Amino acid sequence: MSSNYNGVNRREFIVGTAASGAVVGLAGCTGGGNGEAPGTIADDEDEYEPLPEMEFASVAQDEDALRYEVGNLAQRQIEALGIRTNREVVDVGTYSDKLNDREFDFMIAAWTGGTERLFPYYNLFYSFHSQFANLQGGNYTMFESDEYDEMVENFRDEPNEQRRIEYAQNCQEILAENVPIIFTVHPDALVAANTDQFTNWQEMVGLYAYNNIPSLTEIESVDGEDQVVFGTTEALETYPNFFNVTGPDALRLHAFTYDPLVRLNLEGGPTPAAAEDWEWVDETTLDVTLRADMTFHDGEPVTAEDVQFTFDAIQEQGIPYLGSDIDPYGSSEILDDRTVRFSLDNPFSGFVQISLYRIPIVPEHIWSDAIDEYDHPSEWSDPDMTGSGPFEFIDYEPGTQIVFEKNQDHYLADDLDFEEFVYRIYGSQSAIIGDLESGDVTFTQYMGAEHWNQANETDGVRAVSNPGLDAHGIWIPNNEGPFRDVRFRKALAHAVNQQEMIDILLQGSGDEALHPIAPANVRYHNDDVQEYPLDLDRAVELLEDAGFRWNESGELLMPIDWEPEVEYIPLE
Amino acid sequence: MVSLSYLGKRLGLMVVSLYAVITILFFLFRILPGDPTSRVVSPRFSAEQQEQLMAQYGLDEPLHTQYILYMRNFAVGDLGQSFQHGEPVLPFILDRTINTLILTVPAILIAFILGPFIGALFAWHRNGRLDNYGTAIALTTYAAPIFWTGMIALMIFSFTLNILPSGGMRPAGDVPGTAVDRVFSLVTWQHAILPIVIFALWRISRPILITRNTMIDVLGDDFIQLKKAEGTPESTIRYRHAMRNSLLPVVHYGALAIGYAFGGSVILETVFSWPGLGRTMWDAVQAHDYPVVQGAFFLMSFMVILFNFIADIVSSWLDPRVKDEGVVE
Repeated sequence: MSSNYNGVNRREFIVGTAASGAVVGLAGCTGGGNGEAPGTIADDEDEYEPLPEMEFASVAQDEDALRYEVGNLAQRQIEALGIRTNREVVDVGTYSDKLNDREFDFMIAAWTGGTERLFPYYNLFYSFHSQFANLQGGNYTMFESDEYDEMVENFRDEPNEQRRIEYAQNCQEILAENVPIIFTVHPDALVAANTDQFTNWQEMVGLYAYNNIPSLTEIESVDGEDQVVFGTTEALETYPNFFNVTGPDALRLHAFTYDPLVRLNLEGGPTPAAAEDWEWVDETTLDVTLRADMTFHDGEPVTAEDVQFTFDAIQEQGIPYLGSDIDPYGSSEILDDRTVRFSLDNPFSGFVQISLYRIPIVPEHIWSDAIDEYDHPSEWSDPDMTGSGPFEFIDYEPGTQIVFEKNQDHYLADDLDFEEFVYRIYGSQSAIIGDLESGDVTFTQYMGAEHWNQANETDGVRAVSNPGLDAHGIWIPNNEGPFRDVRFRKALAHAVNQQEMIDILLQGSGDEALHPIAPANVRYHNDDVQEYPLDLDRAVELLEDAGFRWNESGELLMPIDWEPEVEYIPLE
Repeated sequence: MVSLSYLGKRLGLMVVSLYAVITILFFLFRILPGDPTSRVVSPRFSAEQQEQLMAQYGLDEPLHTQYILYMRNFAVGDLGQSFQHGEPVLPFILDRTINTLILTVPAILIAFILGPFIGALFAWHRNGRLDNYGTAIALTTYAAPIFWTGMIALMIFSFTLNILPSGGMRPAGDVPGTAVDRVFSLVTWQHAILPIVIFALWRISRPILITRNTMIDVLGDDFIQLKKAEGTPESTIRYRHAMRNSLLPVVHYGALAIGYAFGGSVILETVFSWPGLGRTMWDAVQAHDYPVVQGAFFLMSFMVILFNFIADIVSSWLDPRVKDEGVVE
């Protein structure tokens, strides 16, 4: 989960918020037990008790406008069932504390979708495997199922792609059937590029449509334009020291200066980068052959030792953000100058597509001294940024820009039709759009719908609503109170109006979510699963089945000493 | 003459205020929910990995140990290293302060040099058309939010007419030189024109209105009538006698404005993507980058306290009643 989704900005909600605000206001008068009972009224109210008021939390609008607005809409929709809630708007710090400490009833959260999420290990494994269902673990909803654990482990370990897809699809089926999270929407990634300067723009699936090496190798310069400017409001999480990396935006830029062994192509499939070839010897042994004649920016050759050094250093020194990527790595052995044999601690079928893609190769001759000199190499405040990647690092001015120059000796140099790449940090989206139209910005991402519409109507700008891999939802505590019964969770899912969220909040740019895997992930997405269309009657029926009733004023009641009857629905 | 005891008392107060600010800053950011790792909350983070990250930032030590270390480092001018980009905080924020001053000093000079003259003019023509419309315009520029005037200015001069750059201190890809290079670079000033004008427009209303109001009182004094009776030229009465006697509150307010100028304006710097102290502080707050936030807040507080001190000393020198009454209005 990441907190920095900025797909929608404040202004485009003027229409949406006016509508949702008015409705939420009305809901305050009618929902939460102040209106008519949506279902059967309790015969004897003494045998029932009202559900306690529940907290409906999201981050503040400034932190993430979309999640904030989803919170407003979803609260009103769920209150229609007679559940009393109070809206809680929190800062990112409180949000993460609440998740880690399991102190929430309804929490609006999301998975952001980097390209490596096309291999859906992250969304399926860390968020739902019961080994993480503990305080501080990543399974925040405390969903536990032996069947699911086994299925997701099979997915993780299975080398055969077809069988792996089947396991992943079964996982999605279990999740859709058991609703550990009320899934809401998969927003599209709104991006735009200036076509007067560069043509042949091709989007990579997901959030980072153009901010990736494969897309940049496709574009063609018009009239000799030789500078690409990526305009963004995202200040990098931590940069430039690689050993201090804590987020996706910085890691992406490290792949500009350092070559990973593998890159993902526009469709998200692994293609050779620093590695020329790789071959599984058995399910825990992988041989990787390096590309011949590669050099670092200072002329030193890239060798198998550098590869081994990088993986060992990350494992020994620890980079928490890359913890899960390095976890499966056991050790490595140098077979010859260009061949490294990786031995994994346990089978991990995503090792190539995730670990080898996310971990860039750093030069041993530069970082071994830093490791000796500092307690942790992340303390090097002015690191030598020499790598072997397609771009050389020139300058970083925090909060302003990062400048890269093309590495003329790189194997991709001929494919890159420009000389300089600038990551330019703006104060506002509006200024980026103005500069995109005038040509001072070459491309941008994380756009709001209003700005995207403006860009879409401008000549010389290509605006694309790129199917996203993000998944939004409402996290609920599966191990507490009424949430323990699957029927209660299903009822909630039937009460949530996903189409309204797409129409109002995303202005049509998005998909309804069935589970954490977006339709944009064509290979793994399973659409043959239990769906929960907006259906209040069905929701009421499910709640009545589970033993719930209402009082005269429409408040949901739970039988005293109620215990869940359906805690898990297994796969058929 | 400013007495030594008054000076000593004010100096003592300044030191106490600074100590209080430094201490409050330390605790303020640590009692807030979340820590630098909350930005990267992620299901794949194990408890150990979070602890590792906290240890990396030195946040695993007990609070009192952190406080002692913090005070000790502060005393020797070591404000730590940024969590976000690893640079030592003090040189970093001083560099950003220079960027901020490039905007705020010219804006404040324009405001405090032109403002009193305009205010004097309004007062002289009190209730005339110039005064009525002028005061209304001054109030409007004060009330108009900078993000709005800034965006309008960008739309007109950058995006539509395309005669001024839209933001930043230099074109994309230009590598910054030293602070001196930046201050004396034409490109910097080209980029600074719009934000300076917008900031000056916002700042100028206070000196205008303060001068106008004080001068209206002064104009009723006997010595003005005497000067008129003497046949002194109108402009001499207006600027040399009346305006000069109305300047004390403007001077006091001006000194404070210079103090605040070091902090710049988060909004102005955000609208114009200007890498000044205000925006740096905002970014750092969002990223829970404690060392930078602490450093930036400290620097801003220090400047405000310092210029408050200077304002008091200057005021008491200009008007000895101040040191007895402690206030100037």
